[in-house]
Amino acid sequence: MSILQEKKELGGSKKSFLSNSFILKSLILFCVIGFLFFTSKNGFAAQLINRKVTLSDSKQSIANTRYTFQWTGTLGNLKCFKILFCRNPGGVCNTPAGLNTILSTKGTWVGLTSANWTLDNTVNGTLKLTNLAGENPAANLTLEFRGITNPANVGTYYNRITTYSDGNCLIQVDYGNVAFRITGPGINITITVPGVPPPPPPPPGGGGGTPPPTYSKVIFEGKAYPGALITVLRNGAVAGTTIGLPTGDFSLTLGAVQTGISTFGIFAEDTQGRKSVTLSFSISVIEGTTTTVKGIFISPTIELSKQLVKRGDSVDVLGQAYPESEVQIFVSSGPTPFIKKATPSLKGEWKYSLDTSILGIGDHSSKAKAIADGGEQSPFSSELPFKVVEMCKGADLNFDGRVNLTDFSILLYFWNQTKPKNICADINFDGIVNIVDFSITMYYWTR
Amino acid sequence: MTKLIIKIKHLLLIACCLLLFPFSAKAAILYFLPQSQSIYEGESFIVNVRLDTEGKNINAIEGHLNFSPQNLEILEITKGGSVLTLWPEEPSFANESGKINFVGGVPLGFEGQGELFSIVFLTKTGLALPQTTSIVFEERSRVLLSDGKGTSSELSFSGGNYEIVEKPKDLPQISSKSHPDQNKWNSSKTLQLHWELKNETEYSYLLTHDPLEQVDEISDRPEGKLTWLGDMEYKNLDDGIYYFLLRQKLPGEDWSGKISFRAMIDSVPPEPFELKIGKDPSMFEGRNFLSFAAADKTSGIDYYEISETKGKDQEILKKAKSPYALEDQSLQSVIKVKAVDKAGNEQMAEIIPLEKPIALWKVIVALAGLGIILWFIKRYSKFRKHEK
Repeated sequence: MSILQEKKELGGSKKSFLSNSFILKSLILFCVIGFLFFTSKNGFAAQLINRKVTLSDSKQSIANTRYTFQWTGTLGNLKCFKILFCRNPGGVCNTPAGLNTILSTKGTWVGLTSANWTLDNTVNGTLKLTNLAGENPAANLTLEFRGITNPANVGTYYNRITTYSDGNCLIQVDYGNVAFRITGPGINITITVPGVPPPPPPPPGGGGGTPPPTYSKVIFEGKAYPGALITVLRNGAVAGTTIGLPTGDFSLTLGAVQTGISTFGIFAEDTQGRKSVTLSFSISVIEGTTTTVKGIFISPTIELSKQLVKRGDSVDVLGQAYPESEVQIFVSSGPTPFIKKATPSLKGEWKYSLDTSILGIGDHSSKAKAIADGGEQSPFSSELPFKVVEMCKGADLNFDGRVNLTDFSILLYFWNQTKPKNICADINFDGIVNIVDFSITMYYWTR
Repeated sequence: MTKLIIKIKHLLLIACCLLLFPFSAKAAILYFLPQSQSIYEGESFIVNVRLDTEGKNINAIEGHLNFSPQNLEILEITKGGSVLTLWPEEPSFANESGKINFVGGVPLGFEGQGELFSIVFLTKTGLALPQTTSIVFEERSRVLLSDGKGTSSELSFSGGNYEIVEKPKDLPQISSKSHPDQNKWNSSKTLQLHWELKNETEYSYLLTHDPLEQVDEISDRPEGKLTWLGDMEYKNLDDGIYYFLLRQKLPGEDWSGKISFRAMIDSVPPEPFELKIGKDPSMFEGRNFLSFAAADKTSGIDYYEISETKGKDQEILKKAKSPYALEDQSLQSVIKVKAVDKAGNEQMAEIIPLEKPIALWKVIVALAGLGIILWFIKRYSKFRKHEK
């Protein structure tokens, strides 16, 4: 065969190849389109409305949490729905770190017959429910799932809910996202999406100008102390105040909070004027939603009767806390703190007299937290330092066994000071180095 | 029956007396001496502040006094002879506000009557005369018992009332070349006084410690150790405050009012005192410091000077207060403190550093070195022997 012939033969096969290639490309294109069409959430499926998810406990890493999903869906026969747990509302769904849905079980359901639905929780982060016979859901659904371990990190996460009309979970009926927030200790946040979806954003370009801000409601509920003044800050400024009920509970509503990310702080001032630490958290306030922040547990207030104490004397640790709780007092003394307990009165007052004979000489500190009857814990109070000193030897301020001019000089050095560095200079520990301490020095003068 | 009635009356009388004076027997008393005096306008006078413990043992006193700045001015406060030896707050005064404050005490306390300090007042001029002016203690003044607890004692006050009067004209002017300033202490024990004699004038005079003492109307002539009238010299006086009181009788006139000249003599140095080196982590950043407190029986300590001299360095004295942070923290310097009283008398105290023992490591090195030398010598000797 000549070269030309080979070329011709090749050209011929080439021609046929091209033809096949065209078909192949078309087929691929069709498949892609079809794939996008059938799997896109923006396909012909409708949006679920009134979407809400409530967590029994929104603290990070908490196990055995109950997630209750609620929505109002379209009528129709459903054979499958999926609930995905994602770090983001769109795009690829990334499962939150620390989340565990593998051990989940069905809880209380309203609007669908729980027994007819099979839960597939083999893929972590996905709850897949199937009912090959299909069921027409009630207009309002409440589906509870139990045994879920919360994500490990504080933040906002999203459940992507999709309903299907086929048992293979391919033909979408409805979809909707709902956000939930994982918090630090003490706070549960529930975000409720109302029935009317928000209006679409205005088209880009033309007209110009910034769209007006929008506002939503935020409710704060929790535990403080009876009669306490509760203050809520938003982005550092006071947004609202309320007074704690005689039970120690409180509820405060901010009716118009500008949407967007806000940093809230909440603290209490007890009836003696002591202030708690401020609990801070950030929330993305979504337009048209009501965000309820529940489970706020204000840490106890704390005060020490003395900041320096002779070893063997006692120092009172006191403050106010939620009445129906137990106050745990942590005293740092060495690498491991030890814990003492106190019970608040009906007015929330608590006190513990700490015997310093069990403490070493030196610096110590004390802080407290409250534990409610249901096991809920408050954050720690502020940590207050105190110093235990060796038994001050009266007027012998330099511990040389004599009371003489050197001791008088030391007394003179700290004259009229309220917090002398040599705390023994305040010989009678009345809070000031003055004539009384001088008189004691004169009395014990060594010839 | 009559006897019974009399007894009842006596008992009632005693009861009334007790009721009338329920508290006066027990409270300590802060008071002035003299409690009253007439002073010529523009002249100075001394008021002693005193305490009567009324049988209690007192070891600390805090005093706050007021005087009228419109009428009086304080020239000086002296603590010489005070029963108090240590002063957390030296007596200080403010002429603008008319206030005096102090805190002082004495180790182991004292009981009885004693002087706390003396105030030299100057009466102002241009006042509407006669003018009465007072010195009072504030209610917040307190005295503490020597009981180891600093318990406050009951305290009462007795103020001073002084009358500023016009100085009569033609009174002699007394001066002194030995003690020129009446308001300053002087260490000379010989007092020389001078005034211009007038013809046919009689004089009556006396030298006393009491400014209120009365001068009689009997003419005096210099006797004994005195030189002559008009130039008086009193020799070898003991330390203390003297008042030369003089009256004159001009021809055909009555005896004049009294004029006085005050001379304050302190010839004795302050009492010996000790120096103490101390250290406290909370003072002077833990550096060594020096404590000292001298006492002077008469005029009081005016100031201290301190020097730290190492080896053959020149001794340089500089004013200092106790406690004093030492410059030489190695304590290798000779430390000297000079206490100077208000008459210029001095008392020295010093600390001479001990010779430092030779460091052990130096001894070991020296011994080792000696051992090596001896070994070499031995070896060399053997070598020499072998060669032979």
